[in-house]
Amino acid sequence: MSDQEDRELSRLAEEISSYARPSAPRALRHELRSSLLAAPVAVTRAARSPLRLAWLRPLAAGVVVVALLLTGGTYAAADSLPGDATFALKRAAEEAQVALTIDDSVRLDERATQSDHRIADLQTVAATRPSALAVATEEYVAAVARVEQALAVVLSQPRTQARDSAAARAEAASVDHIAVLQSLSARLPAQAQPGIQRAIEAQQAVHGKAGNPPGRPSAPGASGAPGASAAPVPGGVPVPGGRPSELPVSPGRGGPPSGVPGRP
Amino acid sequence: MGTADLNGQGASADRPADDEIDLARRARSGDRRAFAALYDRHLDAVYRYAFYRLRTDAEAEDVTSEVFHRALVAMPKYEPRRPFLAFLYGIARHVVADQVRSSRPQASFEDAIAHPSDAEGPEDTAARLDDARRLRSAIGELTELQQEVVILRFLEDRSAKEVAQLIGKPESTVRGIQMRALAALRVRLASQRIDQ
Repeated sequence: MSDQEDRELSRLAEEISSYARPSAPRALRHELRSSLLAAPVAVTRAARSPLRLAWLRPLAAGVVVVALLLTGGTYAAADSLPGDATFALKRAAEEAQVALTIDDSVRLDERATQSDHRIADLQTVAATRPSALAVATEEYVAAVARVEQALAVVLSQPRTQARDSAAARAEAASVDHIAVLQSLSARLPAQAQPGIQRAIEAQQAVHGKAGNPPGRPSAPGASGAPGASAAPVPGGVPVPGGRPSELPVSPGRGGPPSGVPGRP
Repeated sequence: MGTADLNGQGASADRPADDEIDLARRARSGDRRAFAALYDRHLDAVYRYAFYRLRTDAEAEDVTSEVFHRALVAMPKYEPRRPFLAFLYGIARHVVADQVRSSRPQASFEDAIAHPSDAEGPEDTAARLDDARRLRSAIGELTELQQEVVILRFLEDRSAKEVAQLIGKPESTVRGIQMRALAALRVRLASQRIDQ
């Protein structure tokens, strides 16, 4: 290749680099994000290692023995849904995991993750087994109550980065869940509405707490601030704290993944 | 020419940034907001890859959506020490290949001219997007490997080493493909200018 040709190709490379870099359209960005947050996919939990703390070893050993006894059952229960006979086993495993957690911020994260699983369960049940909707809603509301409880404990402690991060994650979860619940509310029949509204209210309580932790300035228009009122959320349910949902949910391009209920 | 790293957060080509590893670990264990944070970070890169590999915006959107849904399902198998964008590109290559195999006859360069940008905003933005669509049309005439190298090297500013890792070829091969791709692209773009 001649020097001249080499120079021409270098110029062409620069020209190509100067071309527009299209960004994902806004509608795709929002719809796909909502869809990903709401997709009812069972995700395997990564293993944690409490054995790093020597004093926990006897306790961990005991848990391992019990876990070994229950292995068959818990494995079978991993994909169970509220209303299934093995769901209680799944919940027991979740409680055992929380019991092994000594840090309150981590415990809050754990509770928030569990509530993520419950809302995914709720969506799956809504899509595949409407008869279990009431049970799934109850389980979800109970999970949110546990998040609220864990959040109250965390917020009562002095501010640390871990505390603030955990509270922020709980708040983000709350916003996401409210968007998902509103989306569900629009699709479900009238008899399911009271339960879904109760779930939204429970989640709003978490949002209100997480959105205004002690020592953190209130957002303009936040509930409780002079002249403030709750900000409306798409769907007509106000969110205490003045922060509307940023996650519009619409069933467009980017539905649940292949093999998942609801995927076209 | 500057090169972006595979994470865009100060990581090396071989190793993701610490916050990316943390996000990926949390996403792998079922934390949807961590996954959403990774999505926010890498959506545009995946979209651009799909945009330039396919012939229409709608196909690019469909493929982008499919890539992230497949990534969500595949998260339990993801190794957090591997750059997340490399994981996404790996999925995107397969999804694009599936799309190309199964798609109907695609829109041509003439279609792109006949259907100018529908993007909102100033005219120059729309014109730049139309330029991008013309470039996409020219890139579509290249071989699959040439397309990947051109997109990743010059439109995504990846280094030759990163591209080599992403497409699984030696760096010297990438440089060879790059030169042949540029030579072919020069001819295509010149032909487009004459047609105009």
